[in-house]
Amino acid sequence: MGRSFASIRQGVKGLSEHWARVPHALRPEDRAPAEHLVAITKRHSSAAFFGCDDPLEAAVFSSLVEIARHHEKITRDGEEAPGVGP
Amino acid sequence: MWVLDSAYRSGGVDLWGKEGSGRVQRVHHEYNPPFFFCLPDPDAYHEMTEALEEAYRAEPCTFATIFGECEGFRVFAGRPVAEAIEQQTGFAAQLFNVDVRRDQRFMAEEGIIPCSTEMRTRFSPEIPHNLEIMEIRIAGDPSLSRTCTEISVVHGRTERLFGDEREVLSDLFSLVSAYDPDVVLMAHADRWMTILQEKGRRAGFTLPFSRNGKYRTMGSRSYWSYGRVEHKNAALIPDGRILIDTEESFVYNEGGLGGVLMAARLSGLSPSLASRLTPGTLISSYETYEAVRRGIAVPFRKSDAEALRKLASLRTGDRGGMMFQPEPGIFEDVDEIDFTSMYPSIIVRANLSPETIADPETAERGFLPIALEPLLNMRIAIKQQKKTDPSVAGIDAILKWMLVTCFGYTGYKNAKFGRIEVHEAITARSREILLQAKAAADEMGFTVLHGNVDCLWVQGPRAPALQERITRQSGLLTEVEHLDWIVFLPQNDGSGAYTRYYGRHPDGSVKVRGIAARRHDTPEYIRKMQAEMFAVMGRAGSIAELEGVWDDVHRIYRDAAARLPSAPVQEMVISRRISRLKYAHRCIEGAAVVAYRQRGTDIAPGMKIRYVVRDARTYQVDPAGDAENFDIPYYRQLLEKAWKEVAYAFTAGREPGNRPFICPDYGQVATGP
Amino acid sequence: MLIELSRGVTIHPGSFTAVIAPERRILLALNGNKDLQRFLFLYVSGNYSRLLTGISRTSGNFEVRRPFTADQLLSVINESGHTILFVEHDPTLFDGAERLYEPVASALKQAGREALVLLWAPANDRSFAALARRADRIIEIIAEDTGPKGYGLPGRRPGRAGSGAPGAQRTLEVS
Repeated sequence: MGRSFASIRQGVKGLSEHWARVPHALRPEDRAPAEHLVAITKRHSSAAFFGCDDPLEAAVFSSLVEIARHHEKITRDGEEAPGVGP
Repeated sequence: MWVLDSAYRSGGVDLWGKEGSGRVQRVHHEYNPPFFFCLPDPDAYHEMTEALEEAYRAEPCTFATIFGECEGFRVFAGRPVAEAIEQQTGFAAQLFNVDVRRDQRFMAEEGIIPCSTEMRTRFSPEIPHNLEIMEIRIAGDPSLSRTCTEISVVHGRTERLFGDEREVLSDLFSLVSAYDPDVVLMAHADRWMTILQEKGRRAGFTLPFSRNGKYRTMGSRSYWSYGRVEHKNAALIPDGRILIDTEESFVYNEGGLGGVLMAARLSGLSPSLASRLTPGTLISSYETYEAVRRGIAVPFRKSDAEALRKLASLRTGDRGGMMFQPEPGIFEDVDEIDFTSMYPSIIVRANLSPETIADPETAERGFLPIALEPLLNMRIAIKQQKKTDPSVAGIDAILKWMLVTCFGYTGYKNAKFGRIEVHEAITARSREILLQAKAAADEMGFTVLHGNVDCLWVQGPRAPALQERITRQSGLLTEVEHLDWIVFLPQNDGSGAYTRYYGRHPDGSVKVRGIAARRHDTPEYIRKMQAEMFAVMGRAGSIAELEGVWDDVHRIYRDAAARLPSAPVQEMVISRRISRLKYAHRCIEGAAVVAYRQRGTDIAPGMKIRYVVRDARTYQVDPAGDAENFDIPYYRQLLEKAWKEVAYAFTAGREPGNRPFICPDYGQVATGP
Repeated sequence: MLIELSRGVTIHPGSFTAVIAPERRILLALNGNKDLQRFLFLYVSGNYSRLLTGISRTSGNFEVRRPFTADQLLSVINESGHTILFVEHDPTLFDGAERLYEPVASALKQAGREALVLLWAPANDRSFAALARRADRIIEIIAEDTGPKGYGLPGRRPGRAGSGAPGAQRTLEVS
């Protein structure tokens, strides 16, 4: 006995590995933020699995949480921070 | 009568019992139980039912299932007739009690339990007995060599038999007949018994293990269990005596003889059979015994599939337990809050059972909660008792495994009383419970470091208060374990591993999960190195004190690395359960399978093989018994990997105040974030 | 209403079709046809499904039942009143249950009298071949990238021994 759908966590990991190929194809100034985005997609996949129904949803949610955190930090600190995400 | 064995023989049930005087006797009970069936449209099959009435004493009756009463028939016949009814009705007939073991069924109906004289002791941890025990140790591995020229027999004292094989066997058989033990413990008994029988027959000796000359057989098979292939050897089980394969019996290895006797008592099966079953089959047998005892008919086939549902709803429901991902690092003063037998507790408290799943809150108490509750209560009591009375540890282990697998059985395809919706309801509730526990921890000012299905790791001031709140809001029992420090290891991508960690208890012992020391395939040499390291680290009650033992721990690694080339080859043995016999790509495990086969050893998926890597680059591997040397660089890599798991506690931990750890051999200074 | 597996290869209601095709192709057929949402669609698979994860979220209206045994599969087919019955073949359901080959095959055939019944597997196997014997059509779609490597000489079809279709059945091979 087991589960019929692939695990969200594994799916996010796979998606992240898939996206990891993209930064190389970007312009140099876009590479670092893209690599950072790849890193933050997985950050909340464990918790996201609870409410999200598929890996893409969990990856997007995870990324948006990190972006929201960073935005909150900027607002709180009142200063510009480089790149995207904390 | 204290039943030590049972068998269906000559149209009845033989019960072998030991009296207070020590005498063992066999009592035969005539027993010809019926099976039951019901039909969606009985009139359509009236010719068949009339024929059954004539030929097999079939009679209309009402019988109980977990879903309620059924109008149907009882038929005094065996399985072939049941299968013929299936065929003739185009599988429209629902059949019951066709494949329930008759000795078990007899005992359940008569209120008899094995390994006890009274039903009321069924859930007692005490198993008083006056069994005579003999241990037989035959030198050698029967999968590699069938020679029996050296045997030790332990019965009070030890007798060594060696020399000419015929004489050794003659002496062995004489000793067994003379001592007439009730229990025979033998490593690889299931392999040796057929060899002994064959050699005995050729020599003109009768195998002495059965008390009436009769044996039951079990066929060998490979099967899937929890995502891996397991293998069961064929077995020759003697009537009237308990024969335990001490090497292969999971129940014996986890619970000792006490565990085997308890497994028999709970499942309603003979100890010989119970010792050969998996925990899953034991809990299933327990449920069958409980059903028969309550007059509930046991379904033959699983024909009721899950209810219809929308794909979107399945996507949401098809999940396992809740897990939080830890940040890798080292943390001080951590409390581990464990829910005791979480899933079975949910079954019992939430009234989850196939017949109640549509509305568990308002339905009458279901079969699964009723059946499991006494088992669960027993486990809770024994777990407590184990803290001051180590003699019940074996029984606790068996109960733990039976309860762990009872959840799995709710979703298992062959489970008589399983249903996938029950399985999903259990995991859904477990996720809610863990989330509520996390929310309580957050509210009370704790930091939640990690969570894994039925367990939470927290840092904070008042663990008992948090425990009390979690227990109250969930209705489930919890236990708290304090860890002076704990290390959560990283995965390859740097994020926290879910199930790889180790931590120190206040008494200095180190709890370890998922790393080399716990893995079954770790060579002994490497396991010993890690164990030695943890013994040293156990002296450190804080992260600051850990710094102080770095030199000692690192020395253990350097010594192990230096001594590796001259280490005994037997300490390099890798033990693995093989999942297949053919491999798509070259690999070490595949090479090991080939090596065994070249040696002429019969192997099957699920079997454990033991081997040493002689040359990893060219995939040269030797079975353990044949190995003379090993691939030093290959084992050095394994050693280094195991070392890094321990070194991580010193090199990459987080620490209050951001004090650096300076690790000269690693050339890096690690600080906290 | 129809399911298009490939250009020119379509499946209509009132038939039982056995299909061997790569996962990608069958998913494309299911996800690419928004029309299917308008019909009563029952997806049947064992516990482990190759396709369910890949089915589009917009197909939330599909209904699902997962039999774990061949007996349950028989019940599911007999109880289905859906317009489309898609069965993802699971050979493990038939372990030790070969007695149910014929009843399940007949049930699929019977259901195919009115519904669109599609039995899918990524590759042939003994139990699939036994069920497919009662199919009105067997369609095999060969993945473009396997070509000669997968099949050796043209015309050789490994793994299809014993799957001889009865005379009334049409077997179509598409690449």
